[in-house]
Amino acid sequence: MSAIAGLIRLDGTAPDRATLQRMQAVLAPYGVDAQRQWREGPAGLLHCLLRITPEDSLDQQPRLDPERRCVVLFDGRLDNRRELAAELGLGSAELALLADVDLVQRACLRWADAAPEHLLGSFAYACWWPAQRRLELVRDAMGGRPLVWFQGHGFFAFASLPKGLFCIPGVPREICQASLAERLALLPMSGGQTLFKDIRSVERGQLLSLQGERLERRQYYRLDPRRELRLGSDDEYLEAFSEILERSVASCLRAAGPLATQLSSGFDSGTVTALAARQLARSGQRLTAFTAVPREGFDGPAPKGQHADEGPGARAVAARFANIEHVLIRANQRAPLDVLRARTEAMDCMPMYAVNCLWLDAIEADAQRRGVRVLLNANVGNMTISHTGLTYLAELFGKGRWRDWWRELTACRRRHPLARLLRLSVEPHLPLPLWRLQARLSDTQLHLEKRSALHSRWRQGTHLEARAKALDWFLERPRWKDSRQMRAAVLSRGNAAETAIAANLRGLELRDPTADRRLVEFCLSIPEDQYLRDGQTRWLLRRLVGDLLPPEVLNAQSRGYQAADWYETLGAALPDLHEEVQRLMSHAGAAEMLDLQGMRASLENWPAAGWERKAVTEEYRARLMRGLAVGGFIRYVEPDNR
Amino acid sequence: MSEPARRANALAAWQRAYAGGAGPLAASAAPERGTADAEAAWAHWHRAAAAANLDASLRPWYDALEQARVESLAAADLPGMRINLARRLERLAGADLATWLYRAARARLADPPGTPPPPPSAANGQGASALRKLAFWRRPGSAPPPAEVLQRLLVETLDAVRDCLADGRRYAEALQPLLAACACYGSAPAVALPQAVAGLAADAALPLPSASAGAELAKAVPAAEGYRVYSTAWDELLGPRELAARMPTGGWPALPPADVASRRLALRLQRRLQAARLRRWSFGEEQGLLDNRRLASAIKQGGDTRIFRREGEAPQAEACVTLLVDQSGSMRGQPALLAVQAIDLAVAALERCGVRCEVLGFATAEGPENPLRRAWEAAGRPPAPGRLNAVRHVVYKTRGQPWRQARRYLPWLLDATAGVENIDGEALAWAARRLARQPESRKVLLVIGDGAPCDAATREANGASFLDDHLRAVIAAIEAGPIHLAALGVGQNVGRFYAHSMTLRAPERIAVQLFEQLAELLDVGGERR
Repeated sequence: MSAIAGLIRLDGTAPDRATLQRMQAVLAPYGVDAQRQWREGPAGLLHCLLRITPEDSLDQQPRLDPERRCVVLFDGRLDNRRELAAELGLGSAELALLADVDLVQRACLRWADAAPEHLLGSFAYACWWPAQRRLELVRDAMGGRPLVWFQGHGFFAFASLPKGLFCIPGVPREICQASLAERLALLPMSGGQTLFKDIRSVERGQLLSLQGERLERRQYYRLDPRRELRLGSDDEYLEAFSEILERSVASCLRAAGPLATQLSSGFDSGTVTALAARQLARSGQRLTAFTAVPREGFDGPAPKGQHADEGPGARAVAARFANIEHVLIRANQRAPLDVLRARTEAMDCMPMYAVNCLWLDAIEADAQRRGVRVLLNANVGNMTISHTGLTYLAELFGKGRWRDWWRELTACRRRHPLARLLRLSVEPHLPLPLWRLQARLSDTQLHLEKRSALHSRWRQGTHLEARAKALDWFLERPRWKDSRQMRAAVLSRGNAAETAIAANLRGLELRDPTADRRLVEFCLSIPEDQYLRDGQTRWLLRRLVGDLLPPEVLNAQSRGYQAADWYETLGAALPDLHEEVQRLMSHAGAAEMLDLQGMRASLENWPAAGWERKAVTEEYRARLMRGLAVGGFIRYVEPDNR
Repeated sequence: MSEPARRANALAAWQRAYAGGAGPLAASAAPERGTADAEAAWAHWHRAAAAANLDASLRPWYDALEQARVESLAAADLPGMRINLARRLERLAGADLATWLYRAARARLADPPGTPPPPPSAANGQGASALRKLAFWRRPGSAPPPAEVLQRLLVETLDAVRDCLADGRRYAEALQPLLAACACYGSAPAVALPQAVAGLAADAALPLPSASAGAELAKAVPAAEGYRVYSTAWDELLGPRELAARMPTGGWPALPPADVASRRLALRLQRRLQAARLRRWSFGEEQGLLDNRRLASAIKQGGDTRIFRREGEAPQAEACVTLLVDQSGSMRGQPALLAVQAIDLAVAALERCGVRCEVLGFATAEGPENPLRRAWEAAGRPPAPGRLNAVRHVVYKTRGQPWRQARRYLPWLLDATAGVENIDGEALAWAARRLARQPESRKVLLVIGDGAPCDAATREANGASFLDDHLRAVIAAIEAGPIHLAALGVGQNVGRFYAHSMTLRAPERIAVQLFEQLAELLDVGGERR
């Protein structure tokens, strides 16, 4: 894992050394093991390396090929080294002496701008062709690593994070208000827009090339939800699923140090942890599993259908594998606002799920203390391996397959309320006005005002509705008829790259096997009945891990409620929160964008009980905390002295 | 010995030593010396903010009286200036009211106080008649007071403030009745006052350089392309005298003692600095400790007798350190407290090791009620006005000053009135200019702050990057020179501006990182990070 950056002078002069030095200094904490620069002609490239894989010890970037045809900067990890080596005609002995960047460079030399199509993994890279004065910037299909760019008067610059670009005179450091509103409304960030004005991101699966002053973008990969895979039998699906999932997990275990995993009481993390432990056991390696649990003695309520303590379920998974060391993370010693500030600065954007930040930060801190190099998670598992399949009911209903629909409905009734099943089946097919009415009556409509503390007056000026319409998205509760499209959209909307690079600061790499491109393609292309069969949700995964996971996970009637004691943590920091809201009120930008009066009222009316109620969690856990996170971001970008 | 006697002795001693008696000196003093000294006095003692709220119509009268005040202060302290200014006063021509005010005030504020010359009405009937005519046409409703009344008013006013001449604000307040009486005579005619006053009275929208708020501050604004200052009229340069004036009765609260770990770090830095001076052996000496390796040559017939070695001080480059602290609002609270504690320890440690050290602070003087902004708005908000706030630069400790004397001013940095916004570029340029004048070969400038320059008014009028661009230009200029520049970002990464910077994630680490940075900059080896 690395942080990369570059500065290309479009007028042909040499880039300023001091500027490159500052860019390197700012990005160095993200790659503490080595920092190097390459300058020639109008280009200056720099690389800060964090050694994670065994091959990283061979890594020397910026990588110039012996014939000086191209220089490559690579940040990330290749998951198809062996296949790529075979395509390039390299033997295994030769492959063992090559870092990932060497393979990428050879791919660039062999296939030029078609190289990204041959690469699999989590990466972002830049390739500079000195003779042609051509620059190529690429991000992987799933957008695992970040890469942003800016084109100014007479120069073009790119970096892993916007902070690298802000070292360059002439690059503005201003919030793009439209993007901020879209991010808070959970709209997909299309067009490469970032939260900063005039700074754009290379989109996932995109190749951006610069020739002279001319920029070209080519989408070399896009998730295709229409693609279908039909196999002969259920067993064939299971076999294929098993093979792909095992391979995805195996790809994530390539590390030059200890591995760990985030383990909750759910299916996704349980599956990843179990498969990783089993694979590591074959080579005698150990795995540390971190589970965030409430404080000792906590007996507070959890929302309906959720359980507050994920410890027992996680412990049962860990107990099945002798090579797992299970660690319970009880509380973050750092103040909540300090955590938010640190995350914001590390990612150059605000954390969207502020409460989750607290326990994630505590886990990462503990992992760092233990010298862990790779921390596995299963963040997109619910869109891939553990998709429930309940949306199949809507599909059956919509296609008029009444008999099948009825059969599944009645089977599902054993575990789910009939009203919910009917709503799931019929609702997506209702005419829009009727759908809205139904959502309002059933109180299932998600209002943006309830999820974020955006000031309604400011929101009106951002034309969010029009933007959502243009993107064919929803500002309120999504209304999906097609489960594949929904999952593809959610997967395309995620912003895992910023979280991933922030972990570099702790010497960690976050890896998500459930976001492996091969696995995602497979999970999106198989029929829905593989996920829902005879009333059994997650049918495919259940069959795969039926022997691996304990009954506490397989037969759980409720799902885990992360950071169940969050309100106690925040309650202890109430004076700080009041102070922060007061500071935000004196900040012109924050006061304009956020409903600070509402946030202050929430703090003043801090409830004594009822923390499990939906209205309360929406107001405090989502709205207030997101408001504070956004406020912190505004103050980070546009600091003031009040 | 009484104060007048002490001053008389000092003057006499100065004349004996440098001028060989009063007569020759007075004869040889060139007229331009007086003008230069008047400007220097204005630059040093005048504080624009003291009369910031003064009506523009009263400004010329005030300027005349203010010039008299600053010259009186200069004459009291500096015998050479006293002679030059007296000579200039003798040669000053003009029979208008403003010139009379200046002459009368100089005479009354002298030591001992003299009798003011008669006002224009008595001295020059024609002039008085002209003044009255002017007043009649301009202010029909307010008859000007008789000249005798004006003279009496001036004497009473100046006598009331002669004991607090150093406090410009109080002086300006006390002058109000006198200025109002002068205003009854209409607007002031052109007056042959020093250049500094003329510069101040000029249109506030004029671009730099302006000589209004002290030559040093004005020069601190480098010729960075596109950088302008709307006005320097309200800029402040505060030294020990001004800090003392702001000090409440009983002084500021004492600095809380630093923790043990910080004190240990300071001690370690001190040891390192001292150790760096004693790490050199000279060999082949005729006296000293026996050098075993050369014993064989002594035994040899006619051998070398220089078989001794001696430990001496390594020829270490003399160093001079400037600590420049941001004292804007965002530093308030724990960051400022920890910064103050760390500075206290660091300066004491450096001083004990013979490293000369200066402690400076910077902020802006004005908050939301910013007079520059109001002036700009009153002028119709002309585009791209430049910096729209008054900078406040503070000298907590000069290089020659012992820390035991200066450290009592440092707690002001914790005070809510210490500053509001921060305009880093100008502060850096000012600190670098001061440092560049020092003779030491190794010059270290360490900035302690919490991020980018920030001034709401300037940002709003000039764009978000205006101050950032200027700071970059200043840093580039400093880094290209002999000064070692580094920054300590309190809570914020300042690496996008500075090539050498550290970020304090936890404020309590300020002492650790400050001492590491200092050790590194002084080339005695820092802690491993």
